[in-house]
Amino acid sequence: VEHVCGDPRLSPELDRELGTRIVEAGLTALQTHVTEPTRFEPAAIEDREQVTNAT
Amino acid sequence: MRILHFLNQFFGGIGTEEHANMAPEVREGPIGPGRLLENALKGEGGEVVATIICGDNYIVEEKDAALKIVKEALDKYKPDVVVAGPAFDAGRYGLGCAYVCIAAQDQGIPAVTGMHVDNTGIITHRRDIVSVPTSTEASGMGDAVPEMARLALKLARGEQLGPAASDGYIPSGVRKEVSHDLPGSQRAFDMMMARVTGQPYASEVQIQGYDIVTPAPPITDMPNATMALVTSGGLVPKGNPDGQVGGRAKDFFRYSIDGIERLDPSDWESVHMGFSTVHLNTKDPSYALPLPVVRDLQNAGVIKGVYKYFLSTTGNGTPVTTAKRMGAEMGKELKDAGVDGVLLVAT
Repeated sequence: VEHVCGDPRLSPELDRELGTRIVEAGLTALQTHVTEPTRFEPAAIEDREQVTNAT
Repeated sequence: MRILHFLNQFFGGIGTEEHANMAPEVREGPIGPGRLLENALKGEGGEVVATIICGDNYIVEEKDAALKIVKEALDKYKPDVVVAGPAFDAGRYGLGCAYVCIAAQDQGIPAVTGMHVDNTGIITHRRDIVSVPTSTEASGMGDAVPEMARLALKLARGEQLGPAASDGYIPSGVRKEVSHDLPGSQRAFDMMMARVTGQPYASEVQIQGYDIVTPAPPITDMPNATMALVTSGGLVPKGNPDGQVGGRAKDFFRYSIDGIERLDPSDWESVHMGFSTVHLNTKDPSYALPLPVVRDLQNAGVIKGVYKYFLSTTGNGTPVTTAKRMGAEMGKELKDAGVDGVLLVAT
């Protein structure tokens, strides 16, 4: 996968924000009791318009 | 016998990773391994009527869109059988082959693929597909394609496949009732006698060797936790001083990030050969090692510390046994260093 912790198509600010949310999702996973394979999704970035324009 | 063949961008002759995002293209006739396939079935009237070529990223990331084109090709060419791959140990390609086989089967068209037993396509879809076991590398093409052709012929004729061991495909885990001449007690006794006398024998129950990993207990005090960063993105100092490989890595290396806020692409590079490293190597290695974000969280008190080294390997075709050994070695180092948790970037 070419850019696991962000998205180079985004603006630098949104890219950093996405990276933060991905890492935060990882930290959330590490603090959660699980008993089976469990998927943790990063919180969505609200500014969808910028994301769309960035592509 | 009409055959529809599925290939990725590499074996379809389009190109390497720079074409991994290509949408499916349908071309009439055989391409690349398809010619070998057609040769293997020439005596049986086999003809590769069309070849679908799709990028490895596209089939995984845009699965619905890709399969829409695949289904249109199935409707147009009305094959007697679909053949996908072989994909060897290429994970995205293996997944794509599995998706295409399942799509064909859903339309009542038999399908066969080929890949290594550790391929992600097998790990995730073994129950749904018929796959010939292959080597990890394309050098096994000459062995794989005739076996795929043999099964394709059988399936196209509407014949039922026998047990995996006798028909030469990867066990799907699906059990079927069969009749034996001898009762189970006699067969078990014969097996036991063979074992104790050193004779060959085969169990009738195939046990899959995949581990069930017990999740670690959750971290309860994150503001006092020390985190470590691990990456399978093949990240190394510029010039690759340790000689890390681009695939089938056997080793991991540790590099100091003590006092470093971010990795600069002029000092670091990815040697991974399983995906395009353009973004990592020209823009920001943080995509494979999110050090700036982790430093932010450290400065904000979300976590206490960051282990002074990051551990790096190349996650590309490494056998499971080797990966387990490396994981155990990493775990020991990090535990001995008092690390509480790991953020592992799996590329």
